[in-house]
Amino acid sequence: MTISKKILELISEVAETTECELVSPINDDTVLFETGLDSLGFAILVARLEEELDLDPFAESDDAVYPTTFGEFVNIYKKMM
Amino acid sequence: MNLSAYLPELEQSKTLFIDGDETVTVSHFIERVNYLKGFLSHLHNKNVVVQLHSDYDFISAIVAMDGICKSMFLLPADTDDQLRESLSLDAKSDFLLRELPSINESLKPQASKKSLNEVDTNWILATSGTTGKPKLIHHNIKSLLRTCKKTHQNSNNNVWALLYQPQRYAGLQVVLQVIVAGNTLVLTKGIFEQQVKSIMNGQTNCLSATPSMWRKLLINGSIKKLHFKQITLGGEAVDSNILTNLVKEFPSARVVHIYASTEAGVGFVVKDKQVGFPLQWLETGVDNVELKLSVNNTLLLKQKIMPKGNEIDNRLDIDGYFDTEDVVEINNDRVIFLGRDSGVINVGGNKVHPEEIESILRGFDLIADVRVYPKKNPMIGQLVAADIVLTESFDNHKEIKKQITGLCKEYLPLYKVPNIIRIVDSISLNFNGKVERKS
Repeated sequence: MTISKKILELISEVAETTECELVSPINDDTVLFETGLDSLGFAILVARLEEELDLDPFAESDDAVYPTTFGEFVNIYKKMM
Repeated sequence: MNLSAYLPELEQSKTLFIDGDETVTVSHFIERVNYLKGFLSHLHNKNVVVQLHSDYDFISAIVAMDGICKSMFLLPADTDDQLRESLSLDAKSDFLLRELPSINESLKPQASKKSLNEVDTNWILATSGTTGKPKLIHHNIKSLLRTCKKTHQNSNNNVWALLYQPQRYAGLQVVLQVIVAGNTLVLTKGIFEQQVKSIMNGQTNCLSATPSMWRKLLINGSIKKLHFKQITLGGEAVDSNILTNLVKEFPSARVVHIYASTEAGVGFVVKDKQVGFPLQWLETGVDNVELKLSVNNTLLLKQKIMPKGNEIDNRLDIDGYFDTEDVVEINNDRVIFLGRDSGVINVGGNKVHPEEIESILRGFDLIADVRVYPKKNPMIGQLVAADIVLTESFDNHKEIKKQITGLCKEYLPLYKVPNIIRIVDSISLNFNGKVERKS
């Protein structure tokens, strides 16, 4: 499974837990905060990604990274693989 | 009255301690204590650190030394050298007691026994230090014995077991209660399963332990064969789940929870088998202890004899009330403990008490035990995480986690629902028998 697919899968799992309604489709250009996931949802997403991929780019990176789009978000993880 | 003065009043042939295969009667113990009084007479009016490997040695030494030493600093056997050095300085100690002569040695008659004038010994205990260096708290024997009851017909055959370290406040209370009442005390050592074995072999019928330890004991199951008269819970907030389970399992037992700490001593005992304590106690006080709430909803208490030390002074308000730093909430006619002020999980500015979440999770049939703790998060500070022990094993962890999340959502707002769940075999406890909630 590609990293992008994995993240999408987790996003829909988290959306179900946090009762958020996602936009469809989510693609590389979708702005993160317009995906439908709220801030708690993103927090959980990052924690779940850390759990599943053992990667925590937001804590480990020296430079603060602020992805705006889904594509940028995925790239941050891709770079660390 | 020093501690050893209680001994001659007890039934001399009675078993006072069971230590592995050894049993010690009251008269044997008096003999040992008298020998030690002579052996340790050079410590008269000295400040002594007591760090002894065996619990029996430790108990004999403190009974002998109360009234002899100016101060006794009770140090757990497993304290490392560096911490001991540092705490000994804080306690202004001038002698370290690490070894006692063997029991056989003590049977030899003592040569000279000078009569020493009696001292009101200062008992120094260290706090657990889970949030930094342990603090020293000063008690005396009168304040330590405040709630210990002498024996009466109903308690004559009480057999207590010691699951706590005797150097800590909770363990010391058990030891003192047994000595004052002339009951029997089963000493336990080793890993949990060995401790359970000692409890069983000694036919224990009275036990003081934290709610977390009681949960472990019920999960282990062996103790269900025992006939408990007295069940004491303390050291952590008690939830209705553990109370209900203990009452159901041991219907004839007296089940009480004690509110006490190294810093505050014994505050009060709740005997009505319900969580928290009656609201009216905030007006009336209880057992000579006055209670009120701070503006932050922490419980404040005031005793006639407060323990002493810098830590105590720093936490007293102008009226002499001590801030326990335990957060409470008023729920109808009860005051309920929510958790430690310092233990709050901050989820994007929303405060979550791990104890509250644990209590709800424990109500689910598929969960045997749980630990809730903060998980650091770059987006919103912290998230709620949970380690869970299941009542039955399931292969599909993903499915079971989903089920648990679903159940939680019925009872809790989303920010309180544990989102990082690990399925584990058991919840480990710290040396005080409490759940560690660090991430």
